[in-house]
Amino acid sequence: MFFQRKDRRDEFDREALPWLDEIYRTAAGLLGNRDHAADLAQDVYLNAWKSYDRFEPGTNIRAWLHKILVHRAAHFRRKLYREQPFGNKEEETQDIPEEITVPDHFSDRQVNDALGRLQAPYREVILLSDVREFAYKEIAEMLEIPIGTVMSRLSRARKQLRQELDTVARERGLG
Amino acid sequence: MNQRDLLRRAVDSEPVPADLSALVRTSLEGHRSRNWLGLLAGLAACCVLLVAGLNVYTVSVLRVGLNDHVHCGLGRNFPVQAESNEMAAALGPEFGPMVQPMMQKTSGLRLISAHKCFVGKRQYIHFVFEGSDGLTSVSITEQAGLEWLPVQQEREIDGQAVIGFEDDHYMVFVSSAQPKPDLAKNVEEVLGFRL
Repeated sequence: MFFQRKDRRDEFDREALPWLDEIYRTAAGLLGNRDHAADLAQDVYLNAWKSYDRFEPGTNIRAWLHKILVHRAAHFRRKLYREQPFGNKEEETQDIPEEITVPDHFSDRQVNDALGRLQAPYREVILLSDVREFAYKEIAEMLEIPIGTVMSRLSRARKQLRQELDTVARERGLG
Repeated sequence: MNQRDLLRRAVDSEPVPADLSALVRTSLEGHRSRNWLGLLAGLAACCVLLVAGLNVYTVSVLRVGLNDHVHCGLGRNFPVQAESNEMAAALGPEFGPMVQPMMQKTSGLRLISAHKCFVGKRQYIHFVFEGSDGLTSVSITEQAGLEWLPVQQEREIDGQAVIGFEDDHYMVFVSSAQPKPDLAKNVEEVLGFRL
């Protein structure tokens, strides 16, 4: 039994740890705070290890880690920022969210700040879709919401981000 | 530029703390160690409970002998017999032949009664000895249910020293104010019980 456990530990380290940087950066995008992101990344890996017995070998560990990440991030936000659950009624849509073209003179910092001003559910979907390139179906499973809701949130998230970037551009006299 | 590419570039530009990997590994190792410590603590707790449970069980079995000593012996509810043939007759053909060797093997004690008696619904072959510390009972009774004394046990229960051991079908108890392991050994030899 000890050796089996050791094998699982080695397998977990081998499979899961290579995604640590990505998990941290997504966590930073979700929380907008580096210290909290580091704590969240540790929390994600600890929870992943605790539930690793339920992970099916051969399935997508990256998606599984991100699912844990979004759930633990929601827990962190409630704990740290006393954030209320996203209870607004959302209009589902089957429209494919539009892609948006923006000027490329924004700094990374400005873009990250603009992202941080989006509501958490919009940040989640735009990070999972546009940054991590998960399929709508995968995101729907991670967030436990219908695909239509994923699409509508993504559409709104992209538009809101564009608006935030426009605001930055006006304030800084860019563009 | 596509907003998606801009966003991806910005998010992935975030520097990862140099010590994050070490922190995660440390917290995983800490948790794994705690798991083992927890397992060991659980095993230790199980052992303690097992020992405590065995002790409670042993005392409950030894009380079977003590009951006879208290209710028949100390309660003086037994026939005082002067002659060994009286005692042998009271025990019947199966246990009667034990009277003589019991008398010879129990120096310092005087056999004053050997009889069959009941405490509750349980029958005992009961030898009562008199000595400097009062009465000593040797009580033999058939095992019942899950009663089990795999090795000789000795406990002080309610102010009396009780020694118990078993054969395939019988349990033997020596109950007295002071523990009498020598008497228990002698009784064991007399009975020819194996341990």
